[in-house]
Amino acid sequence: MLSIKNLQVNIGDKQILHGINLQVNPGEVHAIMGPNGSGKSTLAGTLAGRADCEVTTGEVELLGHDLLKMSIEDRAAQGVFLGMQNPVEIPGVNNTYFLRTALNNIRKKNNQPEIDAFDFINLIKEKAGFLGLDEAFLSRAVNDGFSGGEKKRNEILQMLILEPKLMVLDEIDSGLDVDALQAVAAGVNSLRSSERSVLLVTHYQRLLNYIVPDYVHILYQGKIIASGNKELALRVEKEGYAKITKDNFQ
Amino acid sequence: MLKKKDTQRLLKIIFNKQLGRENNLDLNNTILNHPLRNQAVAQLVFIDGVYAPEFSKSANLVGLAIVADWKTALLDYAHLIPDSVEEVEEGFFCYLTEKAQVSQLVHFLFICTENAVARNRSLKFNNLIIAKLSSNAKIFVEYLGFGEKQYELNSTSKIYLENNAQVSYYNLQNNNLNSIYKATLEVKQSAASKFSNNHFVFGSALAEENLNIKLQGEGALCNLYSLSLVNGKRDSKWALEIEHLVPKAESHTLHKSIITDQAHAGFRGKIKIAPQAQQSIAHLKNHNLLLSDDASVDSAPELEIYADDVKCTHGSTVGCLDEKSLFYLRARGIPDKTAKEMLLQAFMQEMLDKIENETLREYVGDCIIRNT
Repeated sequence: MLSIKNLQVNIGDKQILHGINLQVNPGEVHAIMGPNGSGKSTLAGTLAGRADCEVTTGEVELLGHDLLKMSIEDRAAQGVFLGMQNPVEIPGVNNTYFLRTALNNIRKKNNQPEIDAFDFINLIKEKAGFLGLDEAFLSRAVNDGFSGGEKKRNEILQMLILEPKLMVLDEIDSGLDVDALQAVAAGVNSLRSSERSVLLVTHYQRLLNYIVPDYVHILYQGKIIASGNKELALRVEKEGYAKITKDNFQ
Repeated sequence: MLKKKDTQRLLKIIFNKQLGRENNLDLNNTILNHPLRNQAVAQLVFIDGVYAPEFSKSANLVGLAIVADWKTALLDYAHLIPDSVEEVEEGFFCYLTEKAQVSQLVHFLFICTENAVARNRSLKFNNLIIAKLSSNAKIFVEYLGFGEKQYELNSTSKIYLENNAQVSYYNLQNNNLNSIYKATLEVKQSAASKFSNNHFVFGSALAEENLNIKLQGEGALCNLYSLSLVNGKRDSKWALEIEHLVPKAESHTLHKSIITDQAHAGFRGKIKIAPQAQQSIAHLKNHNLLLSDDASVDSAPELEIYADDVKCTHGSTVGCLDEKSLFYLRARGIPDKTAKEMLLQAFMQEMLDKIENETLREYVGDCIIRNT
């Protein structure tokens, strides 16, 4: 699915990622954990094509295609979805209209027929219901005046509609109460399949109780310094990042 | 006054392309099939600076309101007109009697054809709206210019609201792109009156709007929302002064401009809070979107506060389309160009959404599409 080789990324003049190597196979869930400032969000942003993430060296392939050469929208069309930590508010753009435009552009690029407004309404209502998101949100502007939890549910709603192949979730758990966390996790889990992969960026082990990863990687100062199974996340929870980084960082 | 045979002749004239509207100006069609023709309870039409009764329609508003052209008003209703209004020959007079509730739109349509220049290079209008105690009306003033010849249009409008009166005022300036347009709007509000102005500036090479609002009764509320679209080498200037003269009055102002090519927009907005105007609430915002390197804007929001117990804010932004929003839309698969169009539309949509009347909202929206 995703193959990252020696990825080095600068933001401004500062090097943030110092050579990331990561192989994610179809069907796998990988968790990227790490302390603040370790480069987690930069990694997620780089995959989605954020303009300020400047790749200086390295390769990223998505299903055999060079991801770094693709425009932001082409990455989405190829199946990359970035669930954002702080989704932006866009007053004046209707949530439902936005999502239908997104879905139909992706379908068009994949030579699939567009979905008409009527069918789309039914689809989005069903998905919103699954996430416990009130239908009123569908007619509001994108994230405009949404609470933190509502924004995160809205991210997952978009993901359920767009059905991406690679879900990159950047601290999708931050600021969520237990109910919202469960709804978000249920949304992610409902999409898990042998053809889809998840890259889960998080600070805390808590999320991994709900979305159980196959692999856990510890990112520290722009490098993956430890990899393991879900036991590694439990160790982080118990011992803290400091101990693990001390043991593994040379 | 325009004679019947003049209008017959006008109907036969074929005009050049302008403003993206149809090449041939069919006055009859433009007026009779105007989307608001049926919605409006009364429609007064002015062609090239002159009242055109044969195109106008008025319903029976006896006991509710007087809607008349200025000449008729001076003849028949002089006793209702305060002395302070100067005597210009053309324009409209709208008088709402006490407690009158006029729920349908009253539409004043000022059309300028290529003949405007031949007739009179400088057109002058004088408009007056008096809203008596607890009356309520929605008034739509539209300037619609055809052709490419330069004409100059000056309009002075005064709106007086008595206690509890409510006037929703809509203004669409869609003059031809070579015209010069200078307008002054003066509003005086008494206690607990509500005035709203939804103002759209799409036309004229040089457009100057001067607004002066006097809140002189406690609890008066004033909402001003305006949008200018400026392209080419055009210039759109907006000057506003709101005076809070008594306690507990409230004003909200949002002026937006989209400026492209080598165009220029100016905003000068001042809110004055008098020493006695305690517990005033006043918010003043100006947002500008610059879409090209050569577009320019001057923005000067100002507060002048002499009272100490007030809630006032002012602010101004100048920028391009928001990069974070653009990234968000594209990250969901929306192509760059479509995403930009969506954000541009969103910037304007906020102003359209403030128009409650659906037909009018759609009509103004269609004008935006034609002008962009």
